[in-house]
Amino acid sequence: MNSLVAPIARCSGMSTVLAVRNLVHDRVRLIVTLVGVVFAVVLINIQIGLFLGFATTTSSLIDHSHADLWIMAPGTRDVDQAVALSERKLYQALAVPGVREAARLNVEFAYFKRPDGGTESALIVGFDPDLGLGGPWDVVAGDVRDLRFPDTIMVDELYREKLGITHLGQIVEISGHRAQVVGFTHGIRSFTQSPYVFASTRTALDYSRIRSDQTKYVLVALSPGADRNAVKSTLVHRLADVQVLATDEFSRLTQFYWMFTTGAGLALLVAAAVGLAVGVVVVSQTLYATTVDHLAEFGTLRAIGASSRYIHGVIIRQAILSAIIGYVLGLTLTVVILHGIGDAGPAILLPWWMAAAMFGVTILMCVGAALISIKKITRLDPAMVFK
Amino acid sequence: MILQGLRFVLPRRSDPAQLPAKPTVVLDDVSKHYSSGTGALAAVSGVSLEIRPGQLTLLMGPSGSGKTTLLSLMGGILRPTRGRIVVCGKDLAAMPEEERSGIRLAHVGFVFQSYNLFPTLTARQNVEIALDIKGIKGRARRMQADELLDQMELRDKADTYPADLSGGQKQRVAIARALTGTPSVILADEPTAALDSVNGRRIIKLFRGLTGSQERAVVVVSHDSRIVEFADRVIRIEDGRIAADGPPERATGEPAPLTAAIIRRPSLVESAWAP
Repeated sequence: MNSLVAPIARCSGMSTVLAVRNLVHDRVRLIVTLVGVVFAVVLINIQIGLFLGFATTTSSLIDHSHADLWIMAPGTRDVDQAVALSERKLYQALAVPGVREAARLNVEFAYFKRPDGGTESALIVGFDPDLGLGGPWDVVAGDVRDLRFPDTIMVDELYREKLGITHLGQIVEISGHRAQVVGFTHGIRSFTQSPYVFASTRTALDYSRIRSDQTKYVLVALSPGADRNAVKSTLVHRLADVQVLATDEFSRLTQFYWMFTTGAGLALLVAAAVGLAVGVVVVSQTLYATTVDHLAEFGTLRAIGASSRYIHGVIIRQAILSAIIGYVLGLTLTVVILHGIGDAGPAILLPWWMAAAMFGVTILMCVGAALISIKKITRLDPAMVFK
Repeated sequence: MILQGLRFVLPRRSDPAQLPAKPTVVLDDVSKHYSSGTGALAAVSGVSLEIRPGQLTLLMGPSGSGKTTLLSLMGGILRPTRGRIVVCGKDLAAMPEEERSGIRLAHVGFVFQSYNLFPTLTARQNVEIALDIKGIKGRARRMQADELLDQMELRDKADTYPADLSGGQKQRVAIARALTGTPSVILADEPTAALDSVNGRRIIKLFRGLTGSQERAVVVVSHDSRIVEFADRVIRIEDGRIAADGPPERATGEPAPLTAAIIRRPSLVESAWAP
């Protein structure tokens, strides 16, 4: 231990050495402190990761559409549920300067009949395979161009078991119509747990209740150099009775709808807040107990002339050390859990910026938890050393 | 460097006539009252005294007489209810705790009855932390700590934890800690109470050595009458007041055997000793 502490003493002073010694002096209490921090870090990571994963999932169709603008019925709040528009809007949009391409996109629930006779709800995504706007991405088997053929579909690998799909070329039934699986994607999740089934606009019309002269969305790709806001304004003006949103706007709208108006996201955030609160409570209690245990020593420090800042520094260092160790363990455990869940479970995202932010949150949590101990020390009477 | 020539050298008892004129600690009509259920309890009442460098002053008196309170007041740990306390020219009475803490840091070294060492730190680290507080960092801090431990003949115990040190060794570590930054006054509360007679004698000789070699004031609170022979001055406290103040031969009734030969003149404060 001495060999470990000597470099610390040289680099950061005796207050850090005392903080380390106080922490490791009672190993059971240190373990309880770390369990508290690790619990908070893992819970917050998982809950926020789920939040981000769900939010990303809700808008993935929009984010990967390659479109610049989305034309939809007024009042549309999310991509999975929209009222159909007249197909004429597509042609009107094509006539607007700055519009390079415009394509239909239909997203509609349909019944998918499993080979064992059971049915599953699926979201049929009808897109134009020639233009590709709103089509599948991360294709791992087959070719998107194969969807030009009638009655062909593409699904995600994640849902093969759910839909009873065993191989490429398998014939299935959707809404009483024949469908052949011509490709698989990887990682395209659906927030509603009704898997996305990609098909051409023509094929999708057979599986859904949308009339052939209607479309749920018109996706617009702009000409190079076109002013997105100007085109958007022109579209709103010329295509009466529509809502036109930029892709990022519609993405945020859809995420907000699912995460906040349904309460799903709020539940995740509340769980994350609970994790934070539990962490603060556990860490503050154990740090307080450690401080009380070493009260005589803090009194001695005070008596021999240590400033409040110096003494508070010892406690803050204890908190920061607990935070660092707990964060590293917590992050490691989170990664292990995410690896264990793999693709089978819900999407849990842990981007680098969240890991970095979580480090800050952990430090703040532990330092905040140390405030009770600091308050105790502030009231410490140095005359206690003579008692 | 810090304590050259300190090692168990017994300097001659201070000759009051040759003492520097400027006292290290001055208490002027100092009182300390505590509130209790039945009213104010006077721990110290109207005490006036001066502590001069080069003197070993012994505060004696029965339990509860106010000795330790007086020591705490001298060190700026307690704030007086009334009166003026000047340490190294600074009036502590009106200072806020943080400023008094600064005065303690710069001018006062404390030695406690129960050593008050940090059990989780080694002997060297116990000394180093006091140096660290005083702003001495890195290699210099370690060198000074080793030097102080060397002066206390504890160099070989530098990496030992307090739990593995004897009582005398712990007290010597505590003294080494008190000596960091060469304080002007050392205040010791019952430093020999937890020690056997051999170690107690050794520690008090050490205190005796601190006054002569460093021109430093040392104030020791003790019940131990064996210490009297090493003191320059004995102040007897009773009921929070100075009951007697003078050279040790007056406290014991006869000159201390070790020092009787070198006492030439009565203490400057002997008049206060007269009944």
